[in-house]
Amino acid sequence: MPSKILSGLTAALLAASVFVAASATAAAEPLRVGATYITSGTDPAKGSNGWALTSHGVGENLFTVDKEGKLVSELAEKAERTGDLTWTITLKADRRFSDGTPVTAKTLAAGFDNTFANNKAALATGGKLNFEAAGDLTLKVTTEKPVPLIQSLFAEWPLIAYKPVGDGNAVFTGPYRIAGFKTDASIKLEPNAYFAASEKRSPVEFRKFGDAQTMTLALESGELDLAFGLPSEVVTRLKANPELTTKSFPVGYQYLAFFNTTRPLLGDVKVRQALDLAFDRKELSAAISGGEPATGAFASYFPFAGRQARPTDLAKAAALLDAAGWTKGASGILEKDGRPLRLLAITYPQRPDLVTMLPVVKAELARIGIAVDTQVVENISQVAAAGDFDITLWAQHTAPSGDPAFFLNSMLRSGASLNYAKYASPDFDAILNRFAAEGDPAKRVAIALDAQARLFADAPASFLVSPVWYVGVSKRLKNYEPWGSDYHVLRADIGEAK
Amino acid sequence: MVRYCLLSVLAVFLVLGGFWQPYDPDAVDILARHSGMTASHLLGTDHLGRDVLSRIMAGGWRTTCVILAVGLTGFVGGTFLGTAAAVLGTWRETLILRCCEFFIMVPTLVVALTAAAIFGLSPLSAALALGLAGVGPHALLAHTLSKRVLGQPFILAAQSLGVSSFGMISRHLLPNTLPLMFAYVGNQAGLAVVAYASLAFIGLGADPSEPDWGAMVFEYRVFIFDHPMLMIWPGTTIAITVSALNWAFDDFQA
Repeated sequence: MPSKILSGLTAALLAASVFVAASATAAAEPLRVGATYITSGTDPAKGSNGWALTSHGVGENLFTVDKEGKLVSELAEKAERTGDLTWTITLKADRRFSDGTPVTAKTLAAGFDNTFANNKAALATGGKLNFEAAGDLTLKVTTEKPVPLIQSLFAEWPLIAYKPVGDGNAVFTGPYRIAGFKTDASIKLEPNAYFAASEKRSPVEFRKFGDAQTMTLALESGELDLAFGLPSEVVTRLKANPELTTKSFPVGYQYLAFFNTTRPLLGDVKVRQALDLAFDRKELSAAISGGEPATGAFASYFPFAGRQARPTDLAKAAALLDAAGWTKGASGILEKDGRPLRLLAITYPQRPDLVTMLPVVKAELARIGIAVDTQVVENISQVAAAGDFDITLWAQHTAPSGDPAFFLNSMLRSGASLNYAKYASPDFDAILNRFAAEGDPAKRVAIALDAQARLFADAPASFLVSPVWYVGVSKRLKNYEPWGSDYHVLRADIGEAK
Repeated sequence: MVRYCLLSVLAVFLVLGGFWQPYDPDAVDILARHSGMTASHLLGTDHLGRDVLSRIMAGGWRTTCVILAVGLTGFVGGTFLGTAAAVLGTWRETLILRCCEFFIMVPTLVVALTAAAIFGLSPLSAALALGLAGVGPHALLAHTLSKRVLGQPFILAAQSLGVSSFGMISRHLLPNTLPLMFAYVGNQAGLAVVAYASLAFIGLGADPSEPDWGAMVFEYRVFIFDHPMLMIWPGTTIAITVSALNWAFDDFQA
């Protein structure tokens, strides 16, 4: 009898141990998220890390754009203008960094100073900003150029808020904190204990996939709970899988083609205009099975978007090329002084839709006698900055802060750090200068439309498709709602089913 | 006979692709995408409405260029070096052979990948890289064959009669080594097809819109479950080409 009791007790103890261990394992089971991009590092002042770290749920801004596209406060309570170039920002009380220290004006000022010293993209809207802490929660900001809406400036992706801790490291305030990072591979995230409702969030293992198809297979095999940015070709198949949910959502991104205006063949505006007219945007949209023909630089739901789809007119394109001195040679390719009109079009694999669009672009330009060589490069920013291209297909969120000025200033103003087209137009710059003095939203819309009209005429870029993106989720994340393009992939309200 | 017929048909198909295809292999027709096998598109169309047969034919010509260039580079370079080493002898023979062995040490695909990364992947760059990587094995074979022939009595007789080195090589040595060298080149052609398809599949430095067979397999892998024929056609073409080349040249060697 004692041995039976002993056996029973042992069995009960073992069962309890297994139950406790299983419960602990389940509680700590991370959410597995896949995407075709990952932050290139944890230094928030470098390159586009500010955007990526916010997208990963690690960082926040003073202001941000919410689900409805409205500009709302995040770490800041309010911003008040005190002069032409001066503003006072009041921070929210009781916010903490992930190391438990309070968010103060002094620590944020140190972070912003570091960003403005190391990231030229931060200078796009207001020029160099100076910061002064006037109290724990009061930050005085002086801009180099007049800024009509400082809230919008602080919602721009380079201006992530952080506390610098030396050697390019930083502490952030977002719902997750970095627990491990492998360059170009994965990032492990833990709930930030000092962010509200941290106990309701699971840790996250965010993996980068070099190839969207591989990511799709990982989702199908149960290795992922969330696959962000699925190729449109697989959506039909995934919808038939009862274990998965596929969701689509319109994004603020635009797929566009930058034309390198410094290359000999594209220095002629007539050639660039002909390229713009040769693109069949309906065909491009159909090729990627998602999205609408672009009406201009901005997705159609923005008030400052163009209202009419960009035209396709092969006859007019041919006439422009003829006027530029290009005539058809024996091979059917346009020639001038015995030199063929052959262009190099590049794109990058991190946006699979662009890779799909590349041969379509080639075929469309072939219709007007332009030969195109194509290339897919991993390091698109470097290649584009070096100018080793004629056409680069690019995906860009053109109004990340809900305002049109940032994209136009940072990517198309003369001499801007991200001006890959090397477009330089005093007339266009003069239009952009009007943004600095105009705070009325309706008038800013008019300025944005004027700027787009100038772009259509000068054609340093061709706006192609306003895309729709797809995410796939497992049952565990079936309540996940994608919004905000890829600026807020991981959020506090990730929608995990418990 | 059947093998030669098969090889001839294959050669005609591959060469024809360089001059004619039913459709422009790059022409996009979104309305006709994934058409399946029809009378107008015998192998169907892909996700952009491009005619798959036309793309395979165009890719065949590019593959043919690679086969010919790889064979020519390896054959000419290897035969010259191997024969020279055998004829020259002494330290020059040792030097040439050590250099050739060095060529063998470096994996062919690594050489080709490096060349593709630097110069971009085209039939010419791939063929040069694969061909140069093949010089080593060709040279060692040519050397072995030449040594064997050089030990034959008729060579000694020719030397005794005062035949010049050039005359001996051209009249007595090469006629005895070239047939086997040619068979070896043929055998290597299948490997060249696979190597080029592998390079195109990896895509390093390649123009992804060019219809190389390996690039097609890579591009169409997305449709492996929904439209598997898109992958099967170029895959099958690679397999048939390699098998036919190996089969034909095995017979030739025999």
